[in-house]
Amino acid sequence: MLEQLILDRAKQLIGEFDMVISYRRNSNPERPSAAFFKDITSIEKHLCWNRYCSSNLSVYLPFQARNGTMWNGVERAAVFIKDCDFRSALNLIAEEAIERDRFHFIGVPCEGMFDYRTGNLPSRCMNCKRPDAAEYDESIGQPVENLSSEPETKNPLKSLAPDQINEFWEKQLSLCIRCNACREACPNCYCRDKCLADARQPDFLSRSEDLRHRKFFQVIRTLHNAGRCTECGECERACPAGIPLSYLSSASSGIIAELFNYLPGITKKKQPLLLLDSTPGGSE
Amino acid sequence: MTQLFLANEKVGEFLSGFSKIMKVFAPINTVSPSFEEWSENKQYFPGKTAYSAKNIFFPQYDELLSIGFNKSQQNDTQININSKNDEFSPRLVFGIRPCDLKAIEVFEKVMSTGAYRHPGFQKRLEQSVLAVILCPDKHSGCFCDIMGLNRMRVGKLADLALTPTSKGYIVHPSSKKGTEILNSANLPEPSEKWQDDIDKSSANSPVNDHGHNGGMTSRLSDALFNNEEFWSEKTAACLGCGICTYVCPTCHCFDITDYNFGSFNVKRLQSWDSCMFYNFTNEASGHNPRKLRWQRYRNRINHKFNYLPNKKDISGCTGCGRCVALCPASVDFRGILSSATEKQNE
Repeated sequence: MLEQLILDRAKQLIGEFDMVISYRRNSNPERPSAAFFKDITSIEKHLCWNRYCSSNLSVYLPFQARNGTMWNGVERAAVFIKDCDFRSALNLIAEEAIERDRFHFIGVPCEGMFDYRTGNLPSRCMNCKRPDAAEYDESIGQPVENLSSEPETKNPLKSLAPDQINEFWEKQLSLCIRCNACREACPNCYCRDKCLADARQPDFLSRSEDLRHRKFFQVIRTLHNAGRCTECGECERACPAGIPLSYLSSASSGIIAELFNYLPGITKKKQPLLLLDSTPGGSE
Repeated sequence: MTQLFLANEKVGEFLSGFSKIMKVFAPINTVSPSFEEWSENKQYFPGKTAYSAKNIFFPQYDELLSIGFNKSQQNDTQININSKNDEFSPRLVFGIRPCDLKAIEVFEKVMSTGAYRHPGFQKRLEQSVLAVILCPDKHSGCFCDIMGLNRMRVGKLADLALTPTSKGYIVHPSSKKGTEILNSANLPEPSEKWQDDIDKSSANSPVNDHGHNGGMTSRLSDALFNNEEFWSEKTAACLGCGICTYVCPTCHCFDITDYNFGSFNVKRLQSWDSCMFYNFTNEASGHNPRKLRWQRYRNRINHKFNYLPNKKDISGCTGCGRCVALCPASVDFRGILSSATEKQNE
């Protein structure tokens, strides 16, 4: 069984690496959470891998996110990771937020992770675009077929006229409680306390409740993620109001793919698409 | 004791009737059910809401003052300050649960006692008629009993208490305000055998306490405060998003900011803050004593289970379970609190 394979391999890896990152079993088996193991006992006691491992582990990996004491003295960590999470990690590696040589990625075959609230596979699984498996440091278990035979980036609102789209978002975003879960669940949002939406000087976004500000927050996020978003779907999964935020990721990724022939985390370029450095000549 | 009967199919009519003479708040069926102002085109939600009722007494965005600047003939530097927090109209708050009601008691402790009082909260509460629906059994995800709450006991702040049966609610008043409301409602008497019909349908959904049925202290000490390793490790999966604080019925931290909306239209806005946010304790000097996520999570647990119980003699948690249900990273504070209890007793 896959979990047993992972357990056995994790126990081997903990000798070689300072930390093993995977999921831990919680008292509700349908709600495992991310875990950072440093010894065999805790691996044996807690490590799990099942069809509910929904969180994107990449959100914990950028150096900006590594501020717990468990990272002290951790030179190298092994990460058991599924395709969508690894795609996010590859994008972060390209942006130099994750140092490639400090992590050992083990690709785990995934047939989709269920949403514990509905018992169904979310739409992100049905639109799975896998990164190049050769990018993994190693693989475990038997490879499985991609759920979606021809995954495409489709914008579900494409057939609507602009004011219909606006109406749709105004209705949806009236439910937004500005909890920031979409931002915190997103692996790309690592600006932490420097986030534009929280800035006071200048004050781009007030603490006011009006719809304008809720729309503006999503506009900022979508634009800042353009060319970086890997459609992992965590924003939508995290949202307590059930707002279909993945429509924004799909729309943005679709436009980027069409204009630049670029899929972050999949297309290989010397530099990430929209993050050019100041060197004349830029990227390839 | 007066006991009257409100049939399920008459709830809408009941709420609409009162909405003609006062504001009415009730649980509304949406993607994430929550308390909204009642109107006839909305659908009443009979279960436990996804968000708490605190928005009714403690709005997420509350304009405390507006400051305008007028040039008049007599005085061309006339400054007008208008406070919106003086007058509130009567309102019926229908359908809160014992956990929500207990949380209002916590708010009262914090906002209405001591040297500093929140002007808007107490006035809103005074104008409210609280109609609480008792819970014959727990809903999925609830752990109010572990937090010391008796689900069928009518809390001291309630004006009306409703016991759900399969056909409707048995309503009885528990205050003078409640009696007055009930007198004007024109409800029939219940059938004789209503006690046999108490609605335990919520018990059919698996009440998964998932093994968390004890081992949590109601008063955490300061013993573990400086144990960075403990807090860091236990809260490693937390994303610091703020959902838990926003859906929690007792969380009350707030921010006050002044905004210039242009044309000399300045507003002082109070808004919900969250100890999960980076800037929660970001000080004007630039120093931030809780810059790291584990420090902020430690604060959350201590605020509810250490500072409030030890300083104000009331628990900061009513066991509604919303934070556990909605956490995107599946962090369950009960596990952390159990470990803390065990560790502090070592």
